[in-house]
Amino acid sequence: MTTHRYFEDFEVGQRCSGEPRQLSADDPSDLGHFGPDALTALFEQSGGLLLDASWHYRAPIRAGSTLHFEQTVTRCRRTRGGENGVVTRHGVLVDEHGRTVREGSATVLVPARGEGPDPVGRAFCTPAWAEALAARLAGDDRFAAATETWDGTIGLRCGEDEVHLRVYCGAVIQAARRTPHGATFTLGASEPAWTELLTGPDGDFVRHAMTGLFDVRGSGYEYLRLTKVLALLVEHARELAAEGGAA
Amino acid sequence: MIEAAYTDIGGTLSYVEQSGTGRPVLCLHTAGQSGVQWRHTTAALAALGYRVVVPDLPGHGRSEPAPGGPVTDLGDYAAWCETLIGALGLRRPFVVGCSIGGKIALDLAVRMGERLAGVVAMAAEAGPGHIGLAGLRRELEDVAAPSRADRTHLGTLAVVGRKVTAERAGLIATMHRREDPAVSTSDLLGWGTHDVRAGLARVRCPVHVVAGADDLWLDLAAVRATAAAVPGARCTILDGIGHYPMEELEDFAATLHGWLSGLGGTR
Repeated sequence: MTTHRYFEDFEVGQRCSGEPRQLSADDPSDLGHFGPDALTALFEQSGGLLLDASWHYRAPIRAGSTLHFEQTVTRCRRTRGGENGVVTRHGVLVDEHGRTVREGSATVLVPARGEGPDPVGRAFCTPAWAEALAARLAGDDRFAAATETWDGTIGLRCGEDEVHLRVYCGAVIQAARRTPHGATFTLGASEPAWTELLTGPDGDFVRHAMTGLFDVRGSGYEYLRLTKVLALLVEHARELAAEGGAA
Repeated sequence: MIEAAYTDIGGTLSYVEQSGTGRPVLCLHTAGQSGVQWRHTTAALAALGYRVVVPDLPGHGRSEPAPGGPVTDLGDYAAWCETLIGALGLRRPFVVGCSIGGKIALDLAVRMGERLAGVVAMAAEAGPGHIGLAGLRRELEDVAAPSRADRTHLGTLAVVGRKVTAERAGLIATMHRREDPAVSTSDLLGWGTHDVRAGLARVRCPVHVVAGADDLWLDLAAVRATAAAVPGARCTILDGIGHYPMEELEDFAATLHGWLSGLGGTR
C-alpha cells in the first residue's frame, strides 16, 4: 500500500500488514511509540495529505508486547472537482495474542491520474452500487420468490452512506438515496464491517450479524422476516465486489 | 442394534434409545433438537464398549411435552435426567451433552457428583449463556417470530465450524429445522439464565469441558473459567469446529471414547 500514489491505485478491501515490533520490556517510554501522533504517522507512511484521523483505545499495551499494524482501505471517493480522490483506511494495532489494542481510521487526499468513471462494486451503500446490486437481484429467482408478497423498503447504511432499495412484490423497483416513505428497516454498520463482510474471507451474513457489528433501525420484525433475503443480498454484493465493480 | 422404549419419566412419556452393553453413557441433545443428533455416534460408541443411552428431553423429538409445558429452567431437565438414570438403573454413568445438554451435564455433575463416572460438557459454560432474554420472551408469541425456518437454518450454518464441509453443514442445518419453536425458544431462555457456577468447586466427578473455536454462542474465556473452577477439570478447544461437535466431527465416537477414557474412573 505504501507505493500507491494516485487515487486509482486504491481499492476498498486492500489490506496490508506492518512488520511486528517488540516493545522494550524495561523501558516504559517505548510505549510512546504508539501514542496518537505515532499512530497517525503509521497511516501517513501510506501517502496522501491527511484530512482526518481518529484513534480509539481498545485494550492496554503492555511492556514487552509484540505489536503489528494492519490497515484496510474502507472507502474511496473522487472529489467533486474530479482531479483528486479521498481515501479512508481503517487500522488496527494487534498484540501477540491477536488482541486489538488500538483501532482507528485516517482519511487522506490523493491526486487522481484520470477522470473516471470509477468502479461502483465497492462503493457500498451508494446509489450507483445499489443500482448495480438491484440489476443482479433482478436475475435471481430466489430473490423474486422470497419477496413475492413483500411491499417495503430495505435501507442499507455503510458509515455515513445510506441507500434504499424499494421492493414491491418480488422486484426492486427503485434504488436511491431516499425513497418516498423511507425505509421499513435499515441495516447499518461501519465501513470496516461492510468491507470485511463483502471483501473478506467470511461472507456469511448471519455470522457477521451475530457478532454485533451490524445494527437495525426501524421494524425489527420485517428485518427478521427478510433474513434469507439479506443473506442473498450479501451473496450478490460479494460477487459484485469481486467483479472489480464494473457497473 | 438400537432398542427404543417409551417410558414414563417425571410425568412425561419419554422416548429413550439404548444400544450396547458396558459402561453407560447418557447423551444429551441441544436446544429444540432431539436424540437424532447422536445418530452417527450411537452404534460406533456402543461398539467401543459402552451402553449408549440417548433420550429425547421432554417436549423434544418423540417424547411427550413436559407436564408444565415448555421448560425454561435447565435444572428441570437435570432433575429429569437424574430420574431417568435411576429408572434405567444406570450405575455411575458418564454424561455427555452439547449446548443446553452441556449445561445440563454440568448441572448433573454438581447434583450427582461421585454417582457419575464423569461428564463431558460441550459448547457450554456454567454461567448464563449470552443471549437477549427480552427478545426471546417476545418470540414466544408467534406473531413476533417471523421466518423461523430460515432463521434456524441460517443461524445454524453461522455457528457450524469452518472445517466442516458445506454438505455436512447443510445437513446439520436442515435437520435442525425439525423443532417446535415454543420449545426451542424456552430452551434458549434456559440457556440464558441457567447458572451452576456456585456449585463447581464441590463437583466430585471428573469433568472435561469442550468447545469449538468457531462457536459464536460462546465466550471461550468463560468456557475456560468453567473448567478452571472445577477441581481437576480438563478443557479442550476444537479448532475449526462450532457449536455442534458431535454432528460436525467425523468419527465423533472415537473422539468421545478418548475423552471418556481420559476421565479415568469407570466403576
